[in-house]
Amino acid sequence: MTAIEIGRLLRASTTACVVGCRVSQANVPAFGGLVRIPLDAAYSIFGLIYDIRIEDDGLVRQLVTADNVPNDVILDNRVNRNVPVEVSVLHVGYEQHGRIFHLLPPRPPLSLDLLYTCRPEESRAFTGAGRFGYFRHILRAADLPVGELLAAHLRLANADHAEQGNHDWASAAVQELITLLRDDYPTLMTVLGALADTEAW
Amino acid sequence: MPVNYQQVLQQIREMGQQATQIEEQAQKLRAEAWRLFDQYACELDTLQQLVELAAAENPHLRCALPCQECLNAGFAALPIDSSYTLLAADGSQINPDRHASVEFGAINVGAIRVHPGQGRPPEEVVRSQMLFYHQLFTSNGGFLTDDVVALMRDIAERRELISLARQENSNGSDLIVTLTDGTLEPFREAKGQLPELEKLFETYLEVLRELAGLQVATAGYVDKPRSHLVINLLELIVLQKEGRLKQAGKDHPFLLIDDAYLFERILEPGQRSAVMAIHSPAVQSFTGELSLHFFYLNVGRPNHPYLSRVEIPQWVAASPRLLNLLHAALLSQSRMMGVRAYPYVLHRAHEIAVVGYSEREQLENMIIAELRRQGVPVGERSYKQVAKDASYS
Amino acid sequence: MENDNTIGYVVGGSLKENLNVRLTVSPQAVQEGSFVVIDSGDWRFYGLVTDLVLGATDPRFADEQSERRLPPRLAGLLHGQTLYTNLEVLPALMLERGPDPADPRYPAWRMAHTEDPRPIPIKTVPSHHAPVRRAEAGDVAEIFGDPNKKGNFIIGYTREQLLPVCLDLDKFVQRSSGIFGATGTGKSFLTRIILAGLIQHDRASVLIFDMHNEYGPDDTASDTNQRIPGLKSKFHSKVQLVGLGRDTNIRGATPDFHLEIAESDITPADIEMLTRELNLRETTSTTLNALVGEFRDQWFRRFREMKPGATIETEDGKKIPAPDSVEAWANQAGVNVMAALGLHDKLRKVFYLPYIVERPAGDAISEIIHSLEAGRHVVLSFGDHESDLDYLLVTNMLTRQIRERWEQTTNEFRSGKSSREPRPLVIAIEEAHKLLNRELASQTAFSTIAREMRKYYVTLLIIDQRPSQIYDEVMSQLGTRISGWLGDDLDISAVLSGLAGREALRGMLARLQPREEVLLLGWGVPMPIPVKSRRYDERFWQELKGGSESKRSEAQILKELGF
Repeated sequence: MTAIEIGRLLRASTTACVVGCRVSQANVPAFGGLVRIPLDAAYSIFGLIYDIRIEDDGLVRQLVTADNVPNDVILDNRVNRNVPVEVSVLHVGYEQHGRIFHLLPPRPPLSLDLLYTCRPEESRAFTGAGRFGYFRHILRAADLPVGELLAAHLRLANADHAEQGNHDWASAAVQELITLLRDDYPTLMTVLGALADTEAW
Repeated sequence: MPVNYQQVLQQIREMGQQATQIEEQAQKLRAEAWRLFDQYACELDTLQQLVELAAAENPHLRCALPCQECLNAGFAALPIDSSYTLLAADGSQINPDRHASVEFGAINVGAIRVHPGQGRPPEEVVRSQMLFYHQLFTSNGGFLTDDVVALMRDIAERRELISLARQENSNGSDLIVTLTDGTLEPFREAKGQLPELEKLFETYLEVLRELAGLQVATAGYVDKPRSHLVINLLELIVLQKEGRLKQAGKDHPFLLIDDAYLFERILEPGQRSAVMAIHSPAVQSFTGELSLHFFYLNVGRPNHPYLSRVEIPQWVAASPRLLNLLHAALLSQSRMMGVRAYPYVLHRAHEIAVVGYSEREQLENMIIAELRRQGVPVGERSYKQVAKDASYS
Repeated sequence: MENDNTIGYVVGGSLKENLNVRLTVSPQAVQEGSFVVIDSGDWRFYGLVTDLVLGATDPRFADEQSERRLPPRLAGLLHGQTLYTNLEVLPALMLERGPDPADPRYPAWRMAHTEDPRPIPIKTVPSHHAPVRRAEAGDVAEIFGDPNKKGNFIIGYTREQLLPVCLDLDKFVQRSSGIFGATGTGKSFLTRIILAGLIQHDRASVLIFDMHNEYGPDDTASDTNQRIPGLKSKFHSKVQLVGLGRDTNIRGATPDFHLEIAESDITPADIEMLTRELNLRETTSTTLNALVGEFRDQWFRRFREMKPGATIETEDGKKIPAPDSVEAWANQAGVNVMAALGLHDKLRKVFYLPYIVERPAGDAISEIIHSLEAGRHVVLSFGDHESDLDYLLVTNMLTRQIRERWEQTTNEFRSGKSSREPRPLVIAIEEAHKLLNRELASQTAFSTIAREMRKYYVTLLIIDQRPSQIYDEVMSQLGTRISGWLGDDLDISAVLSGLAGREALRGMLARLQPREEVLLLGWGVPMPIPVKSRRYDERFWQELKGGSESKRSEAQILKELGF
């Protein structure tokens, strides 16, 4: 299965980046989904989608005030118009020369670098490497909806693992989260509450 | 440098002192204009004769010429019961700049093809044409002016439309509407001045003829019109009464008033006005089925009238079917835009066509890169331009 | 290294207090009293679980029922992390295992430790996160002895895994020991088991003062009506059943011989020992001394024959004490008459004891002693003479003579006069608090034995339900203490006196299952441990007597224990 290209980089720092893309039905990226930004043949950054922002523009604002919006206008806006969609991505690790690290990438991506959704095998490789070290990047980002993000991510990653018969990944991930958050009751219960709503449990 | 506020402030004050007076005057004039309009709205023959007489006095007269519909009538659109194709085009241009490091021009036409109600996404078309070297000069060795490039652009827009219309026609569509922004008359002032423009104008007319042949409902859409075509007609009545028809087109008793004042009062939302012809020296070139007509259209809401002026060629004015199609399509497209009514397709065509400053820079860089690749020396920006850029960066 | 038996890891604690262990299995998988092993570095630590404590990283995790808010799988993951159980482990022993044979340090270590190291009392602590596991058969055998080795007697099984726990009988008899437990907690059965083991092992002779005729003859269980075999019927001629008094028969069985006490054997010390029992006065010893001074070893008979209050008339009609009266003697001996009368009166109970005779049929006491020296075992059944008076008098007299005899033999052996080493002797006494309480402590032979006689190859096996009443000096001499359930705080304190880790074991004693479990403790046992006691049944006898004690499969053991 080929990776789906989501869009191109607008701006980036060491910890996160923002990608601009067109939205159409085929390649809508998912909140909590794992993405990959290949910078060169041997170096790719892995990230987690934590925000998807569809900016309005003058035309869309006007269209919403109409009594009804014909279907072809809707299609026109989705297919043809470059409605700017900004996808915010949290860096959670990188791959270099075939080895996966759950550390912040040494170099951030550059303008117009392409971003792809991860294929299931890439997702399994990243989330299965090490001991969930990348969770700390998520937990450190205090202004993100941590519980929802983890729940969405775990659900998606679990599906990838379950596809290969590994049904223990989700439990191991939750164990690690509990260990990391054992002294933070409010955050842990928020995360578990969000997880409880997913069908993985 | 900023303006001299001292001087300006003084002048604004003086203007303010006059404002009330002028407003009172304008009110009187409006009342009078309205009275005349109401009185003569259905005196079509009388008005037509009046125009003839006035035109004899002043060949440069420009005013509305009634056809068969009372001037104060409003007409609602009938629903369209068949499928149709809607085509819109717009263009933008990059004028050649002698102060830039490389001289080039560009014409970018954006067009959009919609099949309303058929559930398909519209198709966009972009056609970009670059102008280099000899293309930047007129036949008499002069550098291309902005007017010429604009006319080239207008033609490119219509060419695109005809090309798309042909495709539609060969695909079996027989109801086609084409829209462009602005009047159907390109550059009516400047065209007489250069041979280029003459030639281009001829081409333009050819395209229109082809559209006529395909019986396409072609129109130019003028948003927020400031025209006085009907007011000018009413002025003739006043001048005649005063025995000063000689001053037709030179004296303007109703100077401060425009047509919108009249038609906002009579057109309900969604109604069009009577179709009228344009009497103007420029339109003499538009003859026969090409002769230019127009109507006003209220695309506003109850208690909030908003007029546009729609220019159409004769073959559309003479066909109730095409006229109604155009009317209904324009209403449908305008209403899509909610409270700021403007045809959606025209907006989109503009979006597709527009070339921004960064793109201009990009093109410039691409050209420079290619020249360098070929080993050809590249010019510099003029020092004047450099200085301008510096002070505004 | 962790294996399947791992139950947790060390998270804290100290040498003075307990070790704290974080449990990695469900708390219901571990019980108080579980024998655990902790490997840390080159050392192996052995300890006992004394408490289980529920904890939470935040009290809200404990307060909120996450099982209601979250799906079961998620709620389950909180257990063990935010909600956890800690064990308190009483560390007892440590053993230097040395490095792994594959480790480069091994050869050097092996050279320094040519013999395999033995477990020693704990001196340090394991490191944080050292894995903790349940003891396996090998561990139990390492500490308590290999059940297959002769001299290791299976006393019971570990609570959870039913691994056999042994008493080293040779060591057991080297010191006095005690079997305790409230009434009805199965002390008698336990005593039977140990006595049987001792007799079978046959390195020491056993003298049992069978006050309630329980051990010698066969008996019937009061609750199940099942037959309980006695030592006599199982060991036949190895065990001599002695009945107190001429005509005694013991539950229908005829004893091998009868014990009668010669009057001339009774000393004032024997009588003084009965002070509380007979409510004797302080004047008693004066009176007794006077009697002995005059009549020597006939004092008892002579005193008995005196008639209290006997008078004769004088010529002038005055009534004066008769010459054979107590008063007459008292006057003549210079002893207070009232004291003498009082003593005579109180000694009435003793005078007419049927087994105290002028001339016993044989020298039963000597016979008993000879039997014991010869390697046989003696059960002295008291028959119908079950009063405290009988018990005190007879046991004390017999023990006194035994003590003298063994002292003599030992001295002869030690000085080289004889090459015969004295045969070790264990004297089993029930209701020990009657003989070994504070008041009597100095007077009975028992306290002497308890304190000193180990040197002379004589030790006690005391069986009692009120250990708090036993003189603490005696208690402190007890090497091995085997205790069933105790309810009284003072009794519990008494059993635990002088031992490390008292507080931790206190609760354990109160939570033993009566009749099913006992706690082994004391410095005669390598480390304290609760065990499921062995059953005294046919199976037991088969194993004991049918060659070496065969190993039973765990399934068989479980079946027997009623699971």
